[in-house]
Amino acid sequence: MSVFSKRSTAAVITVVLCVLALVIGVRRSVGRRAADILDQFESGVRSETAGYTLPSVSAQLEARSNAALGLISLSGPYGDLTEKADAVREAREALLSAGSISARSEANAALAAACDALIPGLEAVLTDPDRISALKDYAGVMSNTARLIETSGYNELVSDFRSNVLGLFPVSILYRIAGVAVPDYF
Amino acid sequence: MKKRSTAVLLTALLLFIFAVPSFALVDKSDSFYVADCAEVLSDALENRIISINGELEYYCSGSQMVVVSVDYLDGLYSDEYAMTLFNEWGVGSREHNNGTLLLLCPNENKAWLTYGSGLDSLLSSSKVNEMFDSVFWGPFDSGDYETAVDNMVSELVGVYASFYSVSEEVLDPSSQQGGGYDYDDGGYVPYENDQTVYSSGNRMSAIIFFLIVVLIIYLIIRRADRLRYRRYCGAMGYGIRPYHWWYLFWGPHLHWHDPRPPRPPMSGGYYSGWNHGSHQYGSHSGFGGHSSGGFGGHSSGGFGGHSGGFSSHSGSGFGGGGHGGGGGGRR
Repeated sequence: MSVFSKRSTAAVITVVLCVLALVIGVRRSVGRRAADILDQFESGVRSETAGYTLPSVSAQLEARSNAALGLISLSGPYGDLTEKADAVREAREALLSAGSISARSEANAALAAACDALIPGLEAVLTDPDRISALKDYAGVMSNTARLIETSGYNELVSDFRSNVLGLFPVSILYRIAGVAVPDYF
Repeated sequence: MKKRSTAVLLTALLLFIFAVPSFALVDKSDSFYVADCAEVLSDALENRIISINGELEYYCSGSQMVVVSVDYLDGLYSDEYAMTLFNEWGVGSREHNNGTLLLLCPNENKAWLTYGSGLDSLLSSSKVNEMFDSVFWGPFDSGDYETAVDNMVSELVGVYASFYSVSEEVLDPSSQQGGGYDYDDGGYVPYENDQTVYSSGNRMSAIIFFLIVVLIIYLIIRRADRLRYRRYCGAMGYGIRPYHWWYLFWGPHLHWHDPRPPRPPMSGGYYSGWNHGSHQYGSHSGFGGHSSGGFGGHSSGGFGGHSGGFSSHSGSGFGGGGHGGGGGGRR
């Protein structure tokens, strides 16, 4: 017990406790902020200045997935488009099964590329007015959602978080120790 | 020579078979709204769906609700199969794209609901999955496909009713009569005494409502009378005396006239008082002060829900032609 009566030991214990408290504090406060950003990926970024919530990236991905399915269904009868439709199907599957935000981002880019390849092919072969109308609708969904994702404000939120929260000392060091999950860019 | 020609014929046949797309969609049924290829639905339910569709097309801008059951999905995911059917058949109004297609494949334990993009504001994948979880998968997994579809149809009727601000009873005439489907009997059977239950229930609530209103009015009048009684006791110099409920009808203060206090001066304090007989009572209040008595308050509120705020479309878009937007279910 005499060890605890030494000044140096007391100082070490104090320092350890302070660091522990800091780590726990960082984990709680920064972790909460990071979780909030991830929530806003699903529910939409809250625009404090405008006072409303912007369309969420997650909702746009769902709409893109549905539109891609529509494009696949339109290409069904045309054997020449099978390869392109398969590429869309594969990209869509990847998007549906992607877990992390970065994986979803990659899958979304692949889906956009596959759809961009399929849409002109469909435009060339479709003759039925209903199908042409459906194609326009699906293509419109793809382009509109791409624009909404760009203006969703999510990446700006992540950027702000990384530079103004994680970039500041001592959080810049402690967040790794605290095991805070950093939100990925989309 | 003969063998060679046989081989050529066989090869040609095989090529033909494999050249045909690997999956074949089911054909539209005569009624269009129900294609029970797996034969899991009763005639009664099919008739109900057809009947609902008549109302849907009339009241909900050409909306259509199609139910399809198939034996196998031919290697496709149910979402793709449903979407392809939706687009092939052109479910819903071309203008409003407001159709829904429920696909079920009992043999593969799959089901999917595809809806047109015109319903995007009300339906989403999560909402559809919620509907599946709450009313569909339970009976479906236990093999009761009839109930599963019946439940889902009711849910969809609710969705359309909410979207187009139409009563569910209007869209689903069978529910108006207060009956149900007795599948053992193979048809719709109105519940006995159902109407009586509804009417006695309505009468009871009306009586309770009336009693509550009367009670509130009584309490307000009683409170006013009690205050008047206290003023009366004060004016008479009786001090504080208990107030009994019958004073409202036979109280000693009933024939007493409460003199109105003089009007306060335009500014500053005012004198308030009254006299009765030889007694004179009064009180001064300070500058600017006054007492505002009385009672009352207000009751705000009322009854009524809201219908979600969706505007209903006018005009019609019959003839079908919608294309799938979203969906949910088990792929």
